[in-house]
Amino acid sequence: MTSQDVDRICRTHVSTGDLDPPADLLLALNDGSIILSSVVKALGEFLTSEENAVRLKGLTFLSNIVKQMSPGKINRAATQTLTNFYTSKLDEFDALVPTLETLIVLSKLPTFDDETAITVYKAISEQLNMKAYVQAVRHAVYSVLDSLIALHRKALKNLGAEFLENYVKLVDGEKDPRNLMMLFAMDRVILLEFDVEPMIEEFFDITFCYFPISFRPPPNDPYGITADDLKLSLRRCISASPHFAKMAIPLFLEKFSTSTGPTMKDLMLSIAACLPTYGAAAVQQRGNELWEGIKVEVLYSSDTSIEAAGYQALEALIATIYPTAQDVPSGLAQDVIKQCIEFMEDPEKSQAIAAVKALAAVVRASPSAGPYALSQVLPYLFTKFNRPAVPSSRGSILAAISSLLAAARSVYGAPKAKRHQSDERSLSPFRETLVDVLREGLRTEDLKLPAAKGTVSLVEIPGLIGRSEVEDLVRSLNDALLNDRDEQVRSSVVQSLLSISNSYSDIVESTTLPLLFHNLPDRAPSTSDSDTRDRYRRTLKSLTRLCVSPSFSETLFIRILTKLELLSTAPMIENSDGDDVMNGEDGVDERECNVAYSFELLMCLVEVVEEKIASKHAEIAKYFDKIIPRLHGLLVGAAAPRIGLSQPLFRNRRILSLVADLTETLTRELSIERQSKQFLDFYSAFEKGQIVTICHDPTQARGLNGSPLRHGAASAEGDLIALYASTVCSLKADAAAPYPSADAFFSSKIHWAVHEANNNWQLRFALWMITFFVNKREKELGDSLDSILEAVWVKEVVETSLPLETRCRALSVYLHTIKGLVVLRSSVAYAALERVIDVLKLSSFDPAFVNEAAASFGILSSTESRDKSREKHLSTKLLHAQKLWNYLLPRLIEGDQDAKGRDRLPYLVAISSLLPLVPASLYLSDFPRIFSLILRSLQLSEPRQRTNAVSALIAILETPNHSTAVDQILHERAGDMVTSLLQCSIRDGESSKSSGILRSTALRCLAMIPDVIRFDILRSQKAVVIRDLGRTLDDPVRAVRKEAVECRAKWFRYGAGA
Amino acid sequence: MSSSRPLDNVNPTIFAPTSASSSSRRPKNARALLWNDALDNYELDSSEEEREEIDSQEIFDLLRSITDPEHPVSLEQLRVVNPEDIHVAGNRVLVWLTPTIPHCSMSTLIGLSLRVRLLRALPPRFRVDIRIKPGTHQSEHAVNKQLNDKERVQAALENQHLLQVVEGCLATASQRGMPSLEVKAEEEQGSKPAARGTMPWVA
Amino acid sequence: MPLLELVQELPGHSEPAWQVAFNPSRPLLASCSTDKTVRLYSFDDRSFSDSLPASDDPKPTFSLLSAIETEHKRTIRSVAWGPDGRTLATGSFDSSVGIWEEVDSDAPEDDSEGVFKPSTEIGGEKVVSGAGEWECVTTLEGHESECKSVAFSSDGALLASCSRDKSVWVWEVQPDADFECIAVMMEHTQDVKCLAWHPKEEVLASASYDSHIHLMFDDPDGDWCIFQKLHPKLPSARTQSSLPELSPTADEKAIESLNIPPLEEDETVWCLAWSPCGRYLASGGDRGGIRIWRRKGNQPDSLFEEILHTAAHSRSVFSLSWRKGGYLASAGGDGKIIVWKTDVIEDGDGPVAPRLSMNPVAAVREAHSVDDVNSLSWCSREEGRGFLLASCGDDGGVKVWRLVRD
Repeated sequence: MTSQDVDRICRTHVSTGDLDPPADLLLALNDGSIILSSVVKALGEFLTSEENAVRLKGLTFLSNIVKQMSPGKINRAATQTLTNFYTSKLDEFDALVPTLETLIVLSKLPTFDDETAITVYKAISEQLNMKAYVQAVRHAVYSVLDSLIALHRKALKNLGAEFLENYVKLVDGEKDPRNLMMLFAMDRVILLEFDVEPMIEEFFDITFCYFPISFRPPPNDPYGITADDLKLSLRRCISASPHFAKMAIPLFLEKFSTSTGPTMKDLMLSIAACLPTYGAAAVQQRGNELWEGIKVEVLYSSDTSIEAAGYQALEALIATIYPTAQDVPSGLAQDVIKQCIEFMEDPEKSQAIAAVKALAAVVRASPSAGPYALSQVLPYLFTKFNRPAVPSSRGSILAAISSLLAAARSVYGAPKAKRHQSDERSLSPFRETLVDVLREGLRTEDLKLPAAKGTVSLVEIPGLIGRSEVEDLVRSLNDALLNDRDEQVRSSVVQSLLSISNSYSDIVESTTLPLLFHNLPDRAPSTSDSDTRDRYRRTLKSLTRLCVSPSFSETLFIRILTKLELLSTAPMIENSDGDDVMNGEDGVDERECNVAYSFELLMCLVEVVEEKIASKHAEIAKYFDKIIPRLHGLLVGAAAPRIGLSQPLFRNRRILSLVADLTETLTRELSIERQSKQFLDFYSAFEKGQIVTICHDPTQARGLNGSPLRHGAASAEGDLIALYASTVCSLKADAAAPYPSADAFFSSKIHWAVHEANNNWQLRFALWMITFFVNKREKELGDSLDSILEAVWVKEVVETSLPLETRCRALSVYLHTIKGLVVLRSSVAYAALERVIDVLKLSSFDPAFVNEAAASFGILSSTESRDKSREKHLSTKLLHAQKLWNYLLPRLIEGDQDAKGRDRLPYLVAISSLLPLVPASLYLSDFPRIFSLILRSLQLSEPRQRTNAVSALIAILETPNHSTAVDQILHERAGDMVTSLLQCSIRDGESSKSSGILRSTALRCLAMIPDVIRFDILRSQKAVVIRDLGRTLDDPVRAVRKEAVECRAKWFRYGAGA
Repeated sequence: MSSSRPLDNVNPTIFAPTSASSSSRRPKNARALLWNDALDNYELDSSEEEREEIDSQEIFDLLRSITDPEHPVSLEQLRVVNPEDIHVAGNRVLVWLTPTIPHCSMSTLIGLSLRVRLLRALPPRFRVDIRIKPGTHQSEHAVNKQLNDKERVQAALENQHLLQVVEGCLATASQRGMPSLEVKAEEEQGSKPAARGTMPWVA
Repeated sequence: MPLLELVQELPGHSEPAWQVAFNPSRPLLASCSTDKTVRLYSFDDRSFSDSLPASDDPKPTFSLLSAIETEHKRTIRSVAWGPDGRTLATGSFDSSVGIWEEVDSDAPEDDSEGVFKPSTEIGGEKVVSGAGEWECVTTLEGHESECKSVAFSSDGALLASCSRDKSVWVWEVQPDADFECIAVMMEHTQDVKCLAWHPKEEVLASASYDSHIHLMFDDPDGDWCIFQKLHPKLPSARTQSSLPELSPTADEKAIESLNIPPLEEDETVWCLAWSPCGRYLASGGDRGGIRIWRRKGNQPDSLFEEILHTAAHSRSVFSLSWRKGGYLASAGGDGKIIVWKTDVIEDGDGPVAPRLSMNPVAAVREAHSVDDVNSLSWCSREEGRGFLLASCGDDGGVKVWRLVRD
């Protein structure tokens, strides 16, 4: 590119007014083929033109070039000339913006030296009259200053007073929040680094004039500057210089009388931030007045956040005046402490509580005032505690002591604390009294809670109390733990025991645990004996929390298993036939008491195990052999045939299910090898009939000959499927398989489920086993899957000669197999589903079965939390649910449209059963159709399906900012929606038509309407809805009533604001 | 921020709320006693719903978390309503309310809030009588008569200003003794649903 | 013993209904509610019997004529018909009184009487075709707070209204819907709950929260003034009754266990009703008792005295309606409707009205299911017709009953 080209380009662009520099020019500049000065030369005539317009164009064009070319290509000389040029233009009002923008660029260049910086600065401060400019221009100016201060600080410093004077003039009177954010940042730097002392008054004016900031950002302010942003950055600059102290503190004091609410909070926090920098000397003089101001707020403010800020301020105040242990805590500290103590005269008053918090602040604040405070207040509190004016006040007194201890703990007991009890010895003189007081507290009604809290703090203060004292306290804690009925008390007692056990686990283990176990009876108390029952429940609750700690777990497991084995020998006379738990009436015999007791013992064990797994305790796996075989032994032993009516405890199905769950959880924790062994043992037990292999003690297998799954085995034996299933469900895919052929094994399970399972309880486990087996062993089974499924379908499901019940069982086997496969997105599964969809056509021929088939889609979309948590352990492929949904929905919708009248029902049932499968976002895509389907589903008779429909609605309403299209449809159908939801919410007559879950879900959904639908749409319905909701308030189920109350309250408020 | 009139009770004693709904006192049948509620998971068949009657505990739960008109604390914390002061028989409910101080002009407003809450939250079959605890308020009887005049209550509910104040007090009612979830919001604009002026509906 | 049988449950209001009133000259029933509407029902009434009908006599059929969306901003507490049946007054908590007239009631006057009009659907509810267009011809402002009752004097020349502002206003009805306030009486110390005009004379009774009943008239030598302030004194007497509806239910027994303390202050007087002869005034109180006051002379300003106080309802008595033949109907917060037979105990006539006895003859429980019954009104049109009794309640429902012989 030649200089002629440059001339041409410049001329055309300036004359045409297209001031964007062409790419080739920039390119040439960047690769150095032409130099900037030649461009400047080319532009010369315009830059110096008499016509403002032309001059401006030229200047802007140049600016755009400078802004866009690579900075490296602007050499020192160019920088000089350009800077001088632009500085000289600062007085041209119209050119100001491009000028400043260019100066910003230039000032950031390495070639931009200190002298230049100074000239620019002087020019700016001499020639600019900030008041005349709009926000954007002022912002540009500040940006220049900012980069000057950032990059040429030393040079500017050397200007001394001159710089500061000009700066103060420039920034004076700024109001715009965006600019202020910038100024405050600069102010801070200057205050920190420049010698501002001589100019401090001016700086005080330009900073404190904003204090305290009361700023409300405009409704939708694009810059998103909040009041807190401003408050914070102002705080950072007013707390930057100690020289402010003289003027600032009086200002603070004055503000005390005028501030309220948020500004008062700001004032407190600013004081907290400033005092440390302002320093002891300055603060000391006005210390008392500051305290007075703070005092009023902490004592009388009804705003907790102001109160909290107040304590921060107080803490800063004390910390500033008494920073070291050497400072004598006389003067202010003395007064503060004295006054606080006076406020404690009536410990139950809210001032007394505030006073304690204030003292706690003092304790935290200073290594000299803190200990002094304790030395003053503790004796006072002790006397009050021992000779209280009114007995009721002792609780508050002890609470006061506890919160002081808590403060001390936060100082001495923190991870890397700077202050140490061993140095300050602030509490040592009171050690014994403290222990005595707490011990008494732990023994006295209404004092236990604060006492327990205090104990935690005390124990957690390093090097304060010794072993014997800890033992003392633990003894009292144990006592409270065993005998107190108040949940809160016990849980904080447990808390203190836990924190004690961190350093003294042996004490807890040797004293607390035995006591607790001693409280577990060998036999369950009778139903009437609620005291004993409450005690063992309390005990178990405490044990559950304590024994998660590794040092106690094993003891717990062993103790509980021993108890269970003891219980298993309890009398077995049965008041009713086999299915004990089923019998509805109130006749509860000794046996059931024992069952319930065993169940709760087990529950405690299970919860501990789960908690340990949740908190990743490595040692968990090692407990498997200590727990599982012994439990299984008990269950097998119980399953063995008995003479007469006797019904062993451990035949109880609640217990069986619980043990099954535990087996599953623990087996998952095992290594592949160990799992393989488990599988083998169970295989030989359940397939080969060597039941003894899963028993802890061979004698337990006595009387059991053959596999529990054999044809004609007793129902009680069949129940053991629970253990088999839970084991198989928890196996990893690559655990070694004991069987010769996977599909033979699989088919045999299917056969058992369809033909041998004695009842739904057993069936459920068999089905889970099937789902997990196909899921984990899909590869192994390979092609045979297809034929197996087909066989089930043809020979059983649609074999109308079979009894309906058998067909339905086969159907759910069929779908449970599919369930295991769809999550792997296996083609076999989809093919198999076609059969189910086809059968929906036949409702007029085979209504009962078709309805069953339609509902069976629900199997693929579990809603029960226990099923869901189990499903988490299936191996899955991404987006399987979406794929399934997209596969099924169109087919079902098509079916629904082709069918007529009642024949459409099965499709609706199928869809509503499927709804829980996917998140709402998925059906928003095809919203209009789905939505009307959902509304229709609200009319179905089966409560579960209606519940699904309602849940789907909830999901839709919950999805944030759905499209306007969706919103419109929602508003169009709002009326129908509300009416149907009301129907679902009200329980009339026959309970079969409704369910508590349905009603509470419907009510929750109805409660969302006011947030989603504009009031004017439903205004006319409001009164009726409120009236009808009146009926739901009388629902038999308390939980439903709760929803009803909230829902109705919501509707009362609906449109009330408008 | 601060209410335009001086507070009636500047610093009331505030008590800790009891642990949320301790419904332990509820009578249960023997089996329910045995199998405590936590075990529902292991219920083998969801048994036919038996009626759980509305008891005083349930009604207390409806009232405990209503906010005092003057202070940002619940009526339970001020011991204005107490579980043992609520009685139910058949379709009748009797609620005793205990003003924090004998000259509290807020009592009518508090009473109104209780009345409105129960009007909205109890089945229509219930008749509610609200009484001031004897000897806890100067004009106990006047307030009682006031609170039990349904025409005045209806009129009060149509008084926008008054309704706002009541809604303010009721806003927290749904917490039922559980700690508030939106402490944040409260912290920002600080104090309380300020009730200004005297009750317009007090003739 | 007669029975009170339900004739029909009418399509009611969506919020509590406060008052029902039978039109004195046409087959119309009006009800008002918190939902700010007035509902008009028309009915065909063929029974002219002067004695109690039998329950198998043909029942009249009611149907919704129109639901007037009024301009009132708050609850409409009270409705009242002018004697000619062409004017309707509404008193509202928004402190105003509305005056309503039928637009182009060109429909032939008397022969349209009792002609049942076929009904059509409007807004999902049966509505009689034609007519029933009512418009607000004027609104009377003046009360400072909730207006609680309005009433036309027997000849329709005067309208009275009362309010929580403790005042009772008397308006003179002038041609073309012009109303002029001619008196304001401010002597109640609390809100005034109810007004009742003497059936023949220009004597007005007002009942108040202050537990007093004021009697006032237009003093020939002066202005309107109160000539007597009644304050209840008699203790309440238990009623012996064989009516099963009046024996306490299990629930009511259970409630006694609460022993709810009675309100200590003197009880509010909720409602008033004149005997058709004008010699007795009945009042209903907050504690559920009914009191009878008799006139001691035949001058407009003859004084009244309390002669009877009967325990009637277990909660407030909200409404009384007195019908020819000595049938006094009462209803209240206990959800009951009771019909009392009042009989004169002749003891020589003179200016002083004789004593009176009253006994319950018929009753219904839960007349509006679980809700309070707020108002009752006998159909007094053309003496002795139909024995129809209308009621309304907090459920917003409006019901018509009939007293039949057993």
